[in-house]
Amino acid sequence: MQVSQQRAPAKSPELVFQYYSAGLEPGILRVLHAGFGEQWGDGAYWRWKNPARPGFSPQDITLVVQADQPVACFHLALRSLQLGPGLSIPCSVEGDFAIEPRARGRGLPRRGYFFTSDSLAERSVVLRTGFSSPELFERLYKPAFGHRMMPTVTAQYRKILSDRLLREKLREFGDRLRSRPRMQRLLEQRPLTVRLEISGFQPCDLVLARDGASCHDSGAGRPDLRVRAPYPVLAATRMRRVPASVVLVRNMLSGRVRVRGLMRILALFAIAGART
Amino acid sequence: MTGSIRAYRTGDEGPIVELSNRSLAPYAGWMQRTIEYWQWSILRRPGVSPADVLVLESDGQIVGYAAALQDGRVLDFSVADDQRRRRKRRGFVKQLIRALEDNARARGCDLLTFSLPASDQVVDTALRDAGYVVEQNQYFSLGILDPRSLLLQLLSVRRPQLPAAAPVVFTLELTPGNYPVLRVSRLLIRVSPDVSVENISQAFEYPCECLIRLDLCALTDLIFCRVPAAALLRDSRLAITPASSSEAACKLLDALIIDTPWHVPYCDGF
Repeated sequence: MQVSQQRAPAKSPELVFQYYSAGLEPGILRVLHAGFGEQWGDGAYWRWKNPARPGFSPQDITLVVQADQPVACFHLALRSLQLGPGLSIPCSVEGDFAIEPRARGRGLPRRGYFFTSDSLAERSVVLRTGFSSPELFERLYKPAFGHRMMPTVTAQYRKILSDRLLREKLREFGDRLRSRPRMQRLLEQRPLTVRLEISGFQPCDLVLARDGASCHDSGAGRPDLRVRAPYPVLAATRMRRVPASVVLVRNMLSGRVRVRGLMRILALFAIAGART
Repeated sequence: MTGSIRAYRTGDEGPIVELSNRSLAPYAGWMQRTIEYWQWSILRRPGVSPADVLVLESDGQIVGYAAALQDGRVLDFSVADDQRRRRKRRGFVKQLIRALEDNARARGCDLLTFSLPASDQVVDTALRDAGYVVEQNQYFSLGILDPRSLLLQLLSVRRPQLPAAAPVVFTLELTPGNYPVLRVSRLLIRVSPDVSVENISQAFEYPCECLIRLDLCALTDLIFCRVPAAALLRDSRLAITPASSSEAACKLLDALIIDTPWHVPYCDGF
């Protein structure tokens, strides 16, 4: 096993590349938390992901150590990737790259990639793979590692389940509405209450006021606008395949979305416009 | 058309693993499940309890299964694909999605998230109809470490598609491109009578019957990103000499293209 010992700038302790050994876990977690924050996970998660994984080898974790303390870590797992009928290729899936701020700017990702190449080849690995954001791919994986982004058919499907999150999203939407000049002119005169009855959720009032938007349980008072819609229509307005207004009008015409008070709102806009 | 849904029980592993492997078979980029791998990946994952693994049964058979983290991320989702009973499958998919939503709501999850192939129209339609917002979000990158083994495996599987006519010996010269590591710079490829790929990086003399030159990034684009040899030639990323062997070389190179759609399941991520 080749160990690279390259010198850091003058007076800095030496940076040493090495593989994982027992006892380094606290230092690795510290590096991961420095890179990704505490939300990365705890020691139990790290142990499940690494030493407890079937087929784990200490060579799956490359560390950069300075004065006996890890300052960077690179993790990988060896897998047999299915590429089609009868095609199973040994590959390494790599990730959880983290570098402490004090060790950044020394080309450690590329050096780490180089360091692990020999042992991966000895272990008959054919492909090296990883998950990255488009930004990280363009900045690192493509120019430094020569990687290519795979054209996957994988899509992420998301659905809001709780009233809490729905109201948070509605409030954010309300804030965006408030920033529009015509709406600002109207809100200078009076607040606006929109009652939303979304299938599968408790009715709520979105209140747009001069100084902010809020969303809470429906009150007893009469709202300015009342909207009743199934949740999938609300979701469709966020897909951006067609403008949200087109989705809403289409669904109003088909009767899936019911709106009461639209004329009143238009009148309020007209009055606010005339006053200014 | 509904089945019955229940939580995972010891002994379900075998049928679940088989179902999962069958569901993923049309794709590239996944890992063949074994019982040991599945138990680690799903059952022993922190934040997953057996109650988070749902099994859908019909006529005493496991026809669907799903596992979710307690924060609402769905780790795995498979429903048996029976071409003869498409409508039945649609019903099973909807039933399993509803059960996952009910479970997630009972746990107080704000959001339910699936990472699934959009090319599965039954699942895609069911999720869109249920109000799911869709985003293309998976960014899986890949590089070649050992071109010799890769070419050998690909050409062995694709042997029937290779041109039968001469030349049968190709010399591939590789440069690193953006790669930090180039383990072989020259390969000798024979396609007849059997496929062989030999590392001749150190050889001073080698056949020049058909010489193919490209960098490793261009080879990666060709094999994994479906950039055909003709496009690489046009962009001067590929050179073939003599020119008379171009057609055979392009056929050989195009036989390397992996055109299976890529889908890396969430639970296979790192």
